[in-house]
Amino acid sequence: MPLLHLMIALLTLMSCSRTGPSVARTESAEFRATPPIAVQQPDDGQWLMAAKDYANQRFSGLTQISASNVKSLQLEWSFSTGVLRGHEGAPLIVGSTMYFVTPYPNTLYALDLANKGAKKWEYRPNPASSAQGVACCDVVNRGAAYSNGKIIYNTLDNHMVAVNAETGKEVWKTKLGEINLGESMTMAPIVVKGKVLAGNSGGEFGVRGWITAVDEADGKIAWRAYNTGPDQDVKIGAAFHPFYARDRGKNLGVSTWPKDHWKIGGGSVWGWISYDPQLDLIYHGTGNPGPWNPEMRPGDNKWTCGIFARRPDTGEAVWAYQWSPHDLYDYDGINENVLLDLRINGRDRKVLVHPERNGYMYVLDRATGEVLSADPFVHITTTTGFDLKNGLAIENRAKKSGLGVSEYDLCPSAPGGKDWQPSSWSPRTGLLYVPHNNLCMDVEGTEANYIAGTPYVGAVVKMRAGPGGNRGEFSAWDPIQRKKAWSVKESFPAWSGALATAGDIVFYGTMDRWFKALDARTGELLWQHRTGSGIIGQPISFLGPDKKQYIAIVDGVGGWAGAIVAGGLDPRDETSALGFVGAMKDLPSHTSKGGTIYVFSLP
Amino acid sequence: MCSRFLRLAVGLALALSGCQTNPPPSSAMSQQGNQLSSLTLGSNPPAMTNPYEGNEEALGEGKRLYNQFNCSGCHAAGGGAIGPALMDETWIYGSQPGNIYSTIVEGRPNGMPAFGWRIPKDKIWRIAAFVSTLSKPEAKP
Repeated sequence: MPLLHLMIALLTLMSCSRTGPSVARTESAEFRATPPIAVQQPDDGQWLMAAKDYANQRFSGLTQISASNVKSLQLEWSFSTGVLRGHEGAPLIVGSTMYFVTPYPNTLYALDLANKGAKKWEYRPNPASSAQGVACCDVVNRGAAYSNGKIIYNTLDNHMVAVNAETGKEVWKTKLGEINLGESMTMAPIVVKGKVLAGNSGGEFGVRGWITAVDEADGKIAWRAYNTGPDQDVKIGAAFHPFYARDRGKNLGVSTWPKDHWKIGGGSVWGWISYDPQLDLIYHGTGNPGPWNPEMRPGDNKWTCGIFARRPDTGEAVWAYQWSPHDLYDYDGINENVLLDLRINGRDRKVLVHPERNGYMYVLDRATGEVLSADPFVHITTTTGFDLKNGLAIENRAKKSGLGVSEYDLCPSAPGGKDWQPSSWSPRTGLLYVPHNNLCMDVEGTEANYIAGTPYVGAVVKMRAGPGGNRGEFSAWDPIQRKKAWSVKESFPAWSGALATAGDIVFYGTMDRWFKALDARTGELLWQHRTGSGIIGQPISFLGPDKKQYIAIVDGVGGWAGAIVAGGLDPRDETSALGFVGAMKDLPSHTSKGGTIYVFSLP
Repeated sequence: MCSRFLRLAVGLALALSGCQTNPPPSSAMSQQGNQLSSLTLGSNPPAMTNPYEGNEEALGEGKRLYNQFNCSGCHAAGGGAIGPALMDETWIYGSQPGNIYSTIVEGRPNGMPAFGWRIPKDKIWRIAAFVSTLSKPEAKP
């Protein structure tokens, strides 16, 4: 080992901001993580959906940029989106064109990769400006999907639009929801077997959560499944076989609520959808129940804070499971479900890995919904452990807030151990790279008054940093060993997505304006670039028309975590932005707002 | 008969006097200090006052209504959330009592709902009076 490398390795070990042993594992017979069929092999250099592939792995198979040369990475071109709110979206790469959807007003840009990002066209869907008033956590958009010559995405005011990828002309536009009922749309859709799948946001507005399939060819609604209410609406029928006994029974989406509360009970679908073509199942999480004040909704509140496996053709539910029945803390269950084929205890298992807001890293059998393991990846006080027998975290009854009752030191806080920010899997290292939070909170329950189109929360929240004082962390998680291989602490919540590449590097961005590349095996910082605004977007990698590998990220701070900057909120009120401002008072001294696309390459 | 008439008259008088303590109808506002612009064509229009300004009881009621009608859901305790902060020095749609009243009644284009048809006018004035007290620019750190 050359002396320099040895010194770097020593420094790596000594660095106080990193925990856990470094790993340098190669694939072996005992450890075998093969990408499911949903992952395109080999990588064609495009990026056709926000999560890159149906398995939601966000892994780029490109190798030109590697751990040994990433230090030379340099800015190739940039493009201002002209929007000042939080940019959580992933660009798409189709052929020699990059596409990007801005936050509200949801402008779609097409940029020419053969000409340093020259603007080809823009498409403006003109969403209702009032929609901004029903977006709980900034007016974000998390991306688009490409299919058969069309770019398809959702607007904040609940329209799904399909745009001709060549010309920028609208092909169809379908209204899916109603802002006057508090609904909005922020998620990136996926296209499965000719159907575009997406759901509503609005868990803080008393919406009734749904997922809808729209026919890709003509924009007609093919089916809609609700996540609360009667079985017929939830699309629970003869094929429904949940793993756990508590999830079996008639119309549980009605009987686990006070009378009629399911109609305004939440369970929205605003995160990620993955798809297993062999099992022919889509997987999507469901959001928090409303209101946050749990006293107003005794019962398990099915099927909020959970996950559904459904048939993409019909929406028919095959199994369901609740991460957090009768949620007490706003632990939406919408985080990504990364589909992996893992060898666990000597058995090949088709699993999904889910870093859950409640702070546990779940591994589920994706055919049956059985919880195979669930291990804490952050500091947890709201539950005291995990009972694998009944597949549930053990509630800490001392931490239950209610009307006029305050509870303190609830960890993780409302945005969870990890919020929407998607992780990335490397089949080469066998590690899941997880950008996440380290936050705790105090909560007081208040009376929530349902007025359609206004917030329905019933909680006063104040957040702060968790143990150690760092508000964020970027962790490499080993799903076989069930622990972190390494992790890096971040001052602010790690609110951007992650990207792992076959060059054995991982990329993510920070809210204090650093775009970083780490060694995928050790967590060593190899390269960083200072951007104009804080980063909460999703990094991607692609092959340009010149056959060179590129890395792209979009900055523009905001989102729930960055609302203090994007919304110009007042730090004197710690309860601002549903309590997030309490933990983010110093963010304005690190970043201002504004979105820019950055594209990097080797010289 | 006579006494009944008297009672009616007293009732009417009370009702009318009640009306007089109520705010002027909104039609009067356009001529009375409800401008959104500080460019007012060479002269300052007469300022409109909130009938509940400084009325402690009404301010307390305004605070209760602020929470009940979910103003707090978007503006928190004045620091803002979905909607802008109310405790800072910036008033996007005007800081005058008439501006605040109109903003609540009519709504505003970037997400402020129109509450005028859901909340009685006198309650809106109480909410507006409370909202006025939230702005504390001088105490900003």
